[in-house]
Amino acid sequence: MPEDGIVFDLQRFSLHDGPGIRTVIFFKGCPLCCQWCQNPEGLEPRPEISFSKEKCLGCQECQKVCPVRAIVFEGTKRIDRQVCDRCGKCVEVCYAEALRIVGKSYTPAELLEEAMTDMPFFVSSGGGITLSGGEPTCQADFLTSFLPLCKEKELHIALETCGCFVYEELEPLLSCVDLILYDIKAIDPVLHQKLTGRSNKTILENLGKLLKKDECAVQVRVPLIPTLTATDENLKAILVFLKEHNITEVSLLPYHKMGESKLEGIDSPLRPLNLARMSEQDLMNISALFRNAGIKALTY
Amino acid sequence: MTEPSVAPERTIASFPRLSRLHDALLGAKKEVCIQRARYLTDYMKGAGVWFEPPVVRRARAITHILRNLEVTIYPDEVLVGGITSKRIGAIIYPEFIGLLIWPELGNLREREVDALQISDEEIKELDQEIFPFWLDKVLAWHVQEFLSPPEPLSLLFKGGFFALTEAAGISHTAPDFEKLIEVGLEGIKEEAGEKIRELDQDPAGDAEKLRGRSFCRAVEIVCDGVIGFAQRYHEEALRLAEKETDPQRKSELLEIAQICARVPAKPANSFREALQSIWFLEIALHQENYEQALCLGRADQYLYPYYRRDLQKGLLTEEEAIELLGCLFIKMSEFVPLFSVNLALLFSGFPANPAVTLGGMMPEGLDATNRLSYLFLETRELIKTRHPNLHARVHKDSPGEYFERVCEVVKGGGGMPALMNDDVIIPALMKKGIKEEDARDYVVIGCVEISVPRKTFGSTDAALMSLPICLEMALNNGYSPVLQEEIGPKTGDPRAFRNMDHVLDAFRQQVAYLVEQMVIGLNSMGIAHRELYPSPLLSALTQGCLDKGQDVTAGGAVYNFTGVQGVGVADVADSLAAIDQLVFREKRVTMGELLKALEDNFEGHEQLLHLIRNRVPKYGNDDELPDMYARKAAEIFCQEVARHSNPRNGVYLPGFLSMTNHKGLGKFVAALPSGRKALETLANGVSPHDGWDKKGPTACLKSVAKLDYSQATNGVAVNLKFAPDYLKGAHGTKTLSSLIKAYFGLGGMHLQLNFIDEQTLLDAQQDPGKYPGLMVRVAGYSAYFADLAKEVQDEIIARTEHCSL
Repeated sequence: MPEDGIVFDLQRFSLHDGPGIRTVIFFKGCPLCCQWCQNPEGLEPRPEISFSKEKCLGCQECQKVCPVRAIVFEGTKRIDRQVCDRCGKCVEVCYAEALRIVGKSYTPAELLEEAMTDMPFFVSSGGGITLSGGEPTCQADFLTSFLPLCKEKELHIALETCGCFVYEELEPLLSCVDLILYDIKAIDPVLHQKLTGRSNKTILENLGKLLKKDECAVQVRVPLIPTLTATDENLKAILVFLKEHNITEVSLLPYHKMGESKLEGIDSPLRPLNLARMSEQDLMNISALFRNAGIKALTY
Repeated sequence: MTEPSVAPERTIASFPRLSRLHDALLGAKKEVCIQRARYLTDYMKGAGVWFEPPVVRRARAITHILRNLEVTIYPDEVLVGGITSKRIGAIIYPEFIGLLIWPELGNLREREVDALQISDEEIKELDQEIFPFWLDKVLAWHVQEFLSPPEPLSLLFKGGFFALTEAAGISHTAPDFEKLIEVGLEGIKEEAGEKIRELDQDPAGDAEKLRGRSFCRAVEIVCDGVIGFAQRYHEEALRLAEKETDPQRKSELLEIAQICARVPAKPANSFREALQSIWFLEIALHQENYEQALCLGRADQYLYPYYRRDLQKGLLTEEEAIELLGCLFIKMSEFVPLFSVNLALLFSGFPANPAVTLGGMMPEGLDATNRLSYLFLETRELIKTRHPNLHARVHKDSPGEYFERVCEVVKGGGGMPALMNDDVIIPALMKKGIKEEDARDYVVIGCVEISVPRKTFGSTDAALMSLPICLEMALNNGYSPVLQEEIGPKTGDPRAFRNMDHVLDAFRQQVAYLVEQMVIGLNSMGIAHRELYPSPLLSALTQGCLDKGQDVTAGGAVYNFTGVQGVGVADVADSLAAIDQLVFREKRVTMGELLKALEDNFEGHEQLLHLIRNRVPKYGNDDELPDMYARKAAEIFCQEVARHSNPRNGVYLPGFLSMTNHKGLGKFVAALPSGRKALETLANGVSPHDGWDKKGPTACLKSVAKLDYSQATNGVAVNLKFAPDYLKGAHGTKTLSSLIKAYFGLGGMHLQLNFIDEQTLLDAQQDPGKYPGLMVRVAGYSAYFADLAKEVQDEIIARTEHCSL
């Protein structure tokens, strides 16, 4: 039996993760831990339980069914994460959806069915599916059985990756992938370690290898996090790196804090950054920086 | 994605005249015009009228109005003719439902919804001279007194079951303007005269034919009446020209005088004459028929030869054509309907919906898009007037450029044009017995209704009926909890229902009962229209009538239909899905427990409410269970409607649009198994319940496309709302057009879109003065946001906004 995939969300009608109208599949688990992570519920590989205090009715049904007594009614907290064994019984009885399971198992065939639902829209718009996360390559075994099925159905496949993977594991899958959206966050390994918890050695090497093969298109993306990645120094280093690799186009992803509200409901090592939004002017200046160096900068 | 936004080639600044006229329109207050009512009353008070055949009496009455209605040419106008005596006027039809406003006259100026100005003298005249005369002559009361059994009208007056709009008039049609501009009213008069001569020489003296003689006489009379009206504009233009000191305006006025001397009597010689001729007829038709949806039809098609000829001869430029179309749009926006407070909530935002249909397929099957289709779109982009209600037909071979242009214009805001899918509509019309070339020629009437122009008297918005109240009665053995009355048939104690078939069967019986009552009411009204207030002018412009010698109200048209709408499909679908899943499949609650929760409006049943809201899939999320029930509910209504015939020898056609009746009808429905609480709004058209479609527009449209539109030939309304930033630029336009193409490929029939963010709407609600021209799509029509009832504004704000980052 092939391994199940653990997916924590499917987002239809996504327009900014590859061409056309797309369904983005969010795979659980990520080797990095970026301070600004937009999907912090995707970091941890296993399914977990999230809690939203706004939705809680206080009916205490969860407490009645919890076999390990992990439900606590103190302040904004509801789950004692030390005790909880993630059995999900509390979620079943929480009709208000204050408690939810983040991460659902799919067989390749099941996920294919979900991926295919918007096929008519993919066809009319030149869209397809985008594997995202988390970090989809963390589930390379699952992808090995899933992606060939997608290819059979002629789905256009984009892969969003942080680049932190074992190249040899991914290589056999490249023939199934049409486009790779590849994040570059920082060039200085020390800075990268500080921002993401990991060095960028493998990441930069992997990008180099991918660029040498022309099996699939690679689009580099740079998250612009004020004071962290969007510093003059880091951006210039990225610029030089891109030039060295003959990369002529880059997508800029400005910071937003919509993911930070999710932190409260899960057991996460991250804390909200609460940075100010990047101004239009700053964004234009950064675009100009790239443009002047002969690199087309796309913004959303 | 940031891309250079394509700057429109022309802006409103290039059209100073239009700009000034548009400002004057936006600056004008809405007023009641009592002139039609005054002159109609004047004529009908004459002792001689009771000896005239009804159709002749009507022709003379209309002529009398046209002889007296105030004639005004406003500064800057090149297209002339006031539909009322006010800049923006509401017409009173005392013979229909005009008297509903009688008790509210004093409050008209201050009322919260759709306020209208009126002077004290005008109030006095209505109160003392006009309305008292009509007390015993109103169509609905005649129906009640002589024609209809009591039950349908008692259901109508209770308010929660159906609105029978034929009480207010029929209208809702696209007359033969093509013929008008081709032969002129003199040509039509000639045809009527020919018909009379033919009759006079008929040695057999056929009784049926003889009956047509008075009709033909009426056509002659009313044609003369309209010609005389244009003549008065000719004189007025000459009078103004004489005292005009600005030489340029003087020559404009002289040209106006010249045109008004020719049309609508003669065939139109130019694009401008064609527009003027049509506008005069619109004015005249509105004196005869109430103000709802007297549509221009496929104006880009029949005007095109005039446009092309003028362009080739060098008599017209594209810019001048846009200016003229803009003038027409403005003239068409100079009237609003007059609704009583209760009706203003059901039809909020002053909708009258004279529609123009663009593009689509030609009768021969080729694509019909032409340069004029684009100019109509551009005019709309330049000035966002209330009218015309603009609809764009598309089919699988529509040019990509046209498709994208349509998307671009609708993105510009105001919800127009709406999109109609030829590939679904044409086969559906053919199934109803319409010839292929006629089906390909269809137009949109009013909001979203479908009709063959020139040949049809379709009464496309004859009634709107609540479907959720049928389900509610099925779950209460015929009882209505809000009205606290036994209404429907006894379909059995729902606690004894063993499966969904029992539920559906009870629902069907309730629908069948209500449809029957609605039909009886409507048919009585149809007879009354024929007997009391026929429409000789409209008949003169409807094919078949002169041939048969019959008025449209008597079945003279080639095609005759009555279109009725079902309201609240999504509410029924979501309710049936909840019953199916929770009561019968999972057995989580008993029917008795569910009914108790409904009775308590879910108070004290929060767990159950959340179970329903969060664990039972909802229509609009591409989930098979509720989508199947939506299809089923719609099908039941369609089948029950399709059994019936109208007094004009035509059949009933079902459709699903709600204007803002989903609001009003919702006030008569208690809590539903769907999780909708008591008295809250119902879902509009065939759209999902507001905010319950959570999987984005593709999922929503897939659900909607699952309904069987081949039966819903009267048309349906589907709303989608986007944040304006979301589909920015040329890239966004492409995405939008591929979204719509795929939806239409899946079998969708109709789509209308709002591009406006919540913050703007909330702000406009607080401070309407800041947004005088802010227009939104309501149901099958667009309206200025400030004109909408607060509750309707709230609904538009609550609609699911599709956006993400």
